[in-house]
Amino acid sequence: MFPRLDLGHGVGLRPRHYGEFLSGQPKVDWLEAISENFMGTGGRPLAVLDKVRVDRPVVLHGVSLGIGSVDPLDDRYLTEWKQLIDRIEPAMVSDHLCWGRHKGRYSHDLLPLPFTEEALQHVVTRVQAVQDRLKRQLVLENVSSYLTYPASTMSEAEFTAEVARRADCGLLVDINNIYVSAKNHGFDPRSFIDAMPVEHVAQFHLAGHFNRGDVIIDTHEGHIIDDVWQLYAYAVEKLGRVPTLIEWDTGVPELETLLAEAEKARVLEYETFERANAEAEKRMLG
Amino acid sequence: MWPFSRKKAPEPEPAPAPPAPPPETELQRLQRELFERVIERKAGLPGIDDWRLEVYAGMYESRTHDALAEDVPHTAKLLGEAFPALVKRYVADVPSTHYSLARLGHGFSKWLREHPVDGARADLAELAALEWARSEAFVADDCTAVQTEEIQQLGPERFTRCWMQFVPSFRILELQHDVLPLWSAMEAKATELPPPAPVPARAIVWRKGFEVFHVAVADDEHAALLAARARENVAAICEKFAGRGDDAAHAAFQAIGSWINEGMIGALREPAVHDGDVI
Repeated sequence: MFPRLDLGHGVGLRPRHYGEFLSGQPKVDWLEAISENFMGTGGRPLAVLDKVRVDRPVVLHGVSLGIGSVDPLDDRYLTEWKQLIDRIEPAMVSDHLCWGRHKGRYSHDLLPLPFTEEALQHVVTRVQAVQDRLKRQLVLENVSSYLTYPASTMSEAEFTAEVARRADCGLLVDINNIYVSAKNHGFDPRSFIDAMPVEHVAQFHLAGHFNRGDVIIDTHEGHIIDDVWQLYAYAVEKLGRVPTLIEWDTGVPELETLLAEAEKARVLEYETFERANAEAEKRMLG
Repeated sequence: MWPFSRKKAPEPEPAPAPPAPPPETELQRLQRELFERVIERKAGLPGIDDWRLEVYAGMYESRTHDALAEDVPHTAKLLGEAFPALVKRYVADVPSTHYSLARLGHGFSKWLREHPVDGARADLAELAALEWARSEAFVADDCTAVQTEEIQQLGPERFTRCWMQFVPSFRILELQHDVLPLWSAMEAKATELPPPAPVPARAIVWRKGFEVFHVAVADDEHAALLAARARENVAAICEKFAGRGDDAAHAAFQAIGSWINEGMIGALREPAVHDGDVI
């Protein structure tokens, strides 16, 4: 299981907003920093991260671990990641349930895994190795995908849940990614949420996307659409309250806009709980 | 009979053939085929719609393009419409082996020098080298620079025996074209750009606080900087200014003073002394 943290609603720490975080105290519960942008570096980015960490919790979220790659784990990556973790002491460390490296070459993408027993065993072994190296639990996020493999023998939700159970890691349930993949592959997004093991769910992500017509691309651009908000409410109802992050990485808007989305998530989470409580009370009385 | 029988030496055993690599597992095969298809643009991965594979291939092109454009923005702008095709060729020749996409541009200036673009300015590889050095300096490891007071405490005699260590952001550039005026014009969004100047130029790049600087250096200061980087002591560094005759000591003092005042020196090290001998 993964300990449930009460961080609230956060936003991504992105270069466009560095000035505001250095000069003021924007009202946000917590911040997510992309690990690779601060690993093995110094200068202004790291100074900003050091500064914001003093005032609020920070979560380190990576994109290059490649937990599912058949390539050996990148030792330089693990070393520099651990150094950053020791320096920042993040509330949690996360990356993606995917692969991205082949024969020492990086694709810099979150490539989908086949959902097979072989892949499952491989990922579980590597999650355990990483957790041993970091001396802490890893949190893994479901990715958006645009293809599936005919070789898969289980659903993505089953695969994801089983990784968490066998490796005893946390799950970052990205609501937008579930929506995107569900539309791209034709499955029910609610069934994915239903399959998540509650005791392993560590965090939610919310983001905008780009609907190309034939396919939906996870661009982290624009406002979160209503269907994704509804799915978030469903996830809160089914999986409970966990830290929630607003992601917006393409055409990054004013910080104010991001904070307004985080506030919207907070209100929706509150309303969902109020409604669920009222219904439970009614059931008890009736 | 010949006293010694000459027995034929036995034929050496043929070396055993190296063991065949284990057969590829399904997971290994799928990852290899997907990587080759979307990153290397080879054929493969039957059973998956091509348009789905193209989504990934297109995103890879777009991502590498944007990352390199961020590393060398002025070079990208001057290359204009030729830039996207160049990025594809560059990442095919110099694939990314670092976890950070921000490191993608590390080999671009060298590659561009070896692959000149028809009709483009002749100094673009040098401009890319300057831009990359600035990008590296921006995120180089932090280091507290040596302060003038530390030198005063040492006194002149001990100081001249010291060797210096530059801050991690410090870079020495040897350029085939003087692109510093071009960089300044691009930075100022000037409407008219200086023509390529095919004269060798030496420049240094470093970061002071959060700000990155670069400046041209004269030949003797360049030689002094190389000597300093090679851990020669201050006395030997000063000798590089000997060509200035009577003004040599003053020039050396000014140059070393500016390195210290501008935050380029991260440490001064005195050689260890045993029984009065410098080791």
